[in-house]
Amino acid sequence: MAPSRFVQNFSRRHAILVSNDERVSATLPPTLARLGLTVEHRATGEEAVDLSQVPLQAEDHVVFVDGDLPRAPVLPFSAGPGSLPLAPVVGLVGVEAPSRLRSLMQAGATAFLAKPVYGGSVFSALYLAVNEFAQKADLSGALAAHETRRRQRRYVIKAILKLMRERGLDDDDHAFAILRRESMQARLSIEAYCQYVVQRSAAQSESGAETLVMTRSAE
Amino acid sequence: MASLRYPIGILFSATGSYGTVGRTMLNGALMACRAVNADASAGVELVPTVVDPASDLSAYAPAVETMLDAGIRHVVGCYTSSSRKDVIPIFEKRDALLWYPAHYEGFESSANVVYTGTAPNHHMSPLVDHLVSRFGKRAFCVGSNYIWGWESNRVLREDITQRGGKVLAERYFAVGERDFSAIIAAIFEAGPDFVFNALIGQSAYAFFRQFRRACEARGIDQKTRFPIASCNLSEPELAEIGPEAIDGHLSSSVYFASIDTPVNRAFVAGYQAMFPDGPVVSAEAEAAYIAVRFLAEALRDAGGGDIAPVKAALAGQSLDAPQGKVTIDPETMHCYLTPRIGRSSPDGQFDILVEADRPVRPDPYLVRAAAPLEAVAQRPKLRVV
Repeated sequence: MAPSRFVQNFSRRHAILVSNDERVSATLPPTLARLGLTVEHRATGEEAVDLSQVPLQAEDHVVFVDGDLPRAPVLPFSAGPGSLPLAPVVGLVGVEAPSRLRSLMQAGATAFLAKPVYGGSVFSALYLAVNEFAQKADLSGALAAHETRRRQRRYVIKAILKLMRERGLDDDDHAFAILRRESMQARLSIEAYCQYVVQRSAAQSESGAETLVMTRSAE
Repeated sequence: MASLRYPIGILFSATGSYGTVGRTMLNGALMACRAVNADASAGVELVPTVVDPASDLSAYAPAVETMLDAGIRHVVGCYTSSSRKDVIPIFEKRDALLWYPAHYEGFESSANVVYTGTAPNHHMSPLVDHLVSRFGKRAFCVGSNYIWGWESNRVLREDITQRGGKVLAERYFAVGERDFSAIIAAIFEAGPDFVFNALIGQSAYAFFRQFRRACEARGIDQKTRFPIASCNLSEPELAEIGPEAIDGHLSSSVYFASIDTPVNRAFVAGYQAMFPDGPVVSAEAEAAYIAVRFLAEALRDAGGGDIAPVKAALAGQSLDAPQGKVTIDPETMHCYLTPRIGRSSPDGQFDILVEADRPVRPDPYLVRAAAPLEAVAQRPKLRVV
């Protein structure tokens, strides 16, 4: 995993502003325009604003959600552990009550911007929201990878035993070292490589032919 | 037309560590006031109140409070970014307007400030182009320890890294520091292609002199082997450096007194006639002059000093300034300016080496120039999977 680089220029982004507050729509879009973003305004009517059909991208979008909306907007979230919205969210805080702040956190806000919006604080909020989102996404990716490796742990044990049996090794450290070297040559994690070794051998004994395709880990 | 008599504040440090530049800014502003007041068709008479905070950061905010208490709504002032950042909250709280006439590091666009100096895309990008094409890609950065130095060096580092170059070192000194012997030794050690200087005032002058002397002692031609490039070096400062180290320094700016146009010749002659004792005219003086001229026009067009009508009248305004045409960008309240690069000559002027062919749109947040991600400075990290 590469060290995360901070985003500092938001000029190629599209902002979706979900708010019914006229003061926000008067002050926030001009400031965002100065920072090079395009802005799309969505106001809530009888129904909550539904963004689940919008093809949100973490690199291309940022969503501003007003905490004072009568109905919280519907935002699509990623699946898996450490679920995140599909794009960074900035919470606009008017009524500073715990229930409002909680609903913004639940919407996935990684930064708050107090209303009335003051132009000089928008860049900081945007910087925090986007970069905090990226770090959370990195963490959640790392967590998913560790989960996978935890599930593959039993294959490591099986592969070591298999190798010791097949090659007549009496030292499990030696068997591990061989698997480690081969996994690095295959550019796979040791767990993924051991899973491959074990499943290949199972498939070969079933059909007599190699059917499993070696898959590279997400990293 | 009945003339509108209007009080304005002028807030420059005419004394103290960066007093030389402050004095030229004060002179530029006063010259514009006189020009406006002498012009019957200007439709406005400016009554300036001048305060000198003497390069003391803590003196700016009380000075602004006093001016606003006295009924002044428009203040032309500040040179350092730290002083500007200190007073902006007061202008915002009391809804007054600061007219800020200096090059600065960007990443700001307060609704209560009009910026007539350069944004980083004006002074930094052309300078990096020039340095990389002429001298190389290895920089050594020195700066005064505040936001101007930090951000200037950051922008330089990003730009130069993207071009495959490298910043060998970055060192900061307190405003007013005069001893650079250790850092000069470090420069010789590192052997950069050029030195980027973001020191201000007396620190910068001392550095120029000491570095030239150290190079001479080693038999090195500093001008060609270790050229010093700055975005804040103007003519009056060359005089402060003194004759032994005056020449061969690169400066990125939008104005040099040597610009050969009728408007500028008249400007320089008028300035010299009004201030024969110096300091000589500078880019900052021109920016202060532009600020007051725009202010006068906006006051006349708005029919008074209320902030909203003045800003409305100002948006998109142009004037024929000594540097050429200058236009206010309505979106950011910064100016379209004409970037130039000069090299100092022994007579205390700059020879203009590079000049943009038209005024350049201000980009204070570098949204049109910079990459979306910060540059990676270190080697890629490998790890065992």
